[in-house]
Amino acid sequence: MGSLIGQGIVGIALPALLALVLNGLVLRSSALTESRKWPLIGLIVAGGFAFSYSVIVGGIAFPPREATHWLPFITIGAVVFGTMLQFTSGVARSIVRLIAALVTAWTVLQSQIFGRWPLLISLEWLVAVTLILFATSRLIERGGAAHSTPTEILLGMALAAGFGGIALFLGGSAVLGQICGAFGLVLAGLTVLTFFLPPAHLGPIVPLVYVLALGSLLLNGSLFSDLPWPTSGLLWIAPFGVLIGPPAMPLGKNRNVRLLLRGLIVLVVIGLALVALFLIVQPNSNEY
Amino acid sequence: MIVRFTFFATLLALAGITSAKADTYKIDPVHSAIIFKAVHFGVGNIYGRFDTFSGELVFDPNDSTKDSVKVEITTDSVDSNSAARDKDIKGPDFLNTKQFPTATFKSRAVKKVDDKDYEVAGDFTLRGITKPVTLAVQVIGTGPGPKGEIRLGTESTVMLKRSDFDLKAFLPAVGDDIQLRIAVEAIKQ
Repeated sequence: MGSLIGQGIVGIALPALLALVLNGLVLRSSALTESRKWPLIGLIVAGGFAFSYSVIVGGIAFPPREATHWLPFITIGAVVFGTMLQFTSGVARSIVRLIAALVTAWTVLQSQIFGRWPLLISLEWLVAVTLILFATSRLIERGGAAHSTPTEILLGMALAAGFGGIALFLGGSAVLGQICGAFGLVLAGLTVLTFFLPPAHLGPIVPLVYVLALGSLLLNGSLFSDLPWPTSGLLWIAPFGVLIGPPAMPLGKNRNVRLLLRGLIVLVVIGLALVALFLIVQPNSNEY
Repeated sequence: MIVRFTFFATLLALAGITSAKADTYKIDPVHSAIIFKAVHFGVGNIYGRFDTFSGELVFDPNDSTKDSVKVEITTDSVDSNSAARDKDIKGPDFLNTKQFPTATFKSRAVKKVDDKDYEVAGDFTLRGITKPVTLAVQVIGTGPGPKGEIRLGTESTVMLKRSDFDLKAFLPAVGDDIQLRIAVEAIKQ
């Protein structure tokens, strides 16, 4: 038991704390412009994820042999793709986003498609997952910029990832659950930082890291473990609760109330996701 | 006369070759078992088994260089006497059965230790990772079964380190050493 607690501290708490300190230093830095800060923050978030993964799984496998082995590479790759998004526009931007979504979909599905599944079903899955990742990352970035503050978007993402960890844990994979929970904690730290040091915008990098990392985790959970699809779906749409309502006014008087209300909307959707999990999997019976 | 002698000599030679040929036996899953044990929190042994497997043995009691062993285990058939635990063992934390539906053992060399005991060196593949292992095999016996078919019974053990096969979840709470025991009856083909 002691070793499990020790692993939890090193694999979950330590990266969250390190990311909190480093992100705080970056956000406070006056020498960096915002467009320079977000690639660094993205790298810290992805680094925290990779560190957690490495401790919880017991190393990073290279070359990756199975779907979960790709997780740290997806998050680091998301920073690269996200940085490209930040400095591109129009069709080029859409192409970069599409490639990032397609690569992520392929890493999760590659062990099943083109061989184990029929060709048509393989193509349908690949296209569907790619489009969902593409559309979600676009919506969370664009919709978030138009309707929410960076803190609100980050709160939605942190809550979905944090509770996603619990859902994955109860849904049959303690390892994926811990990784997802650690990711949620890293995002929670960033949420707190942006509350006190509010940036003007969030940019595309952190949302893309979130979409590709959580998307991959939930897909792995539902495809290879027992995380019910309705739970995955509800967790996936939960952060969009922060887009509900009129556009945010970052420095308005009602900032805290708005943040609380939007956080509650996200929590309601997450609550439904967990209810679905309990109804379908009945985790209480999982004790052994 | 010479032709007749040559004919009989050839027949005798052929008969000699036939009797020296190693026999192939197919595993009879109904009279076989593959079980494993792992240490749980350092206080007890947890046992489990695989219900679905197949394979064949090539066996020549007089010449072990002709012997070989091939076993394929369906990982999804794991049964540890707890449905909830089986789900976890089948999941991505452990066997990841959807991505790796089989585990296999293929022998490379068989060494006869004495009349009953053999050492079978081969490759064990689990979760997409292949490692060399050596099975300690004991021949229990050979003889006719209920329908007159010839049966060969063996029991093999091998100690594996699960971390060698990327099965690192819950180490060391669930022990790294996994003992695999393969007890088979195989029917001569």
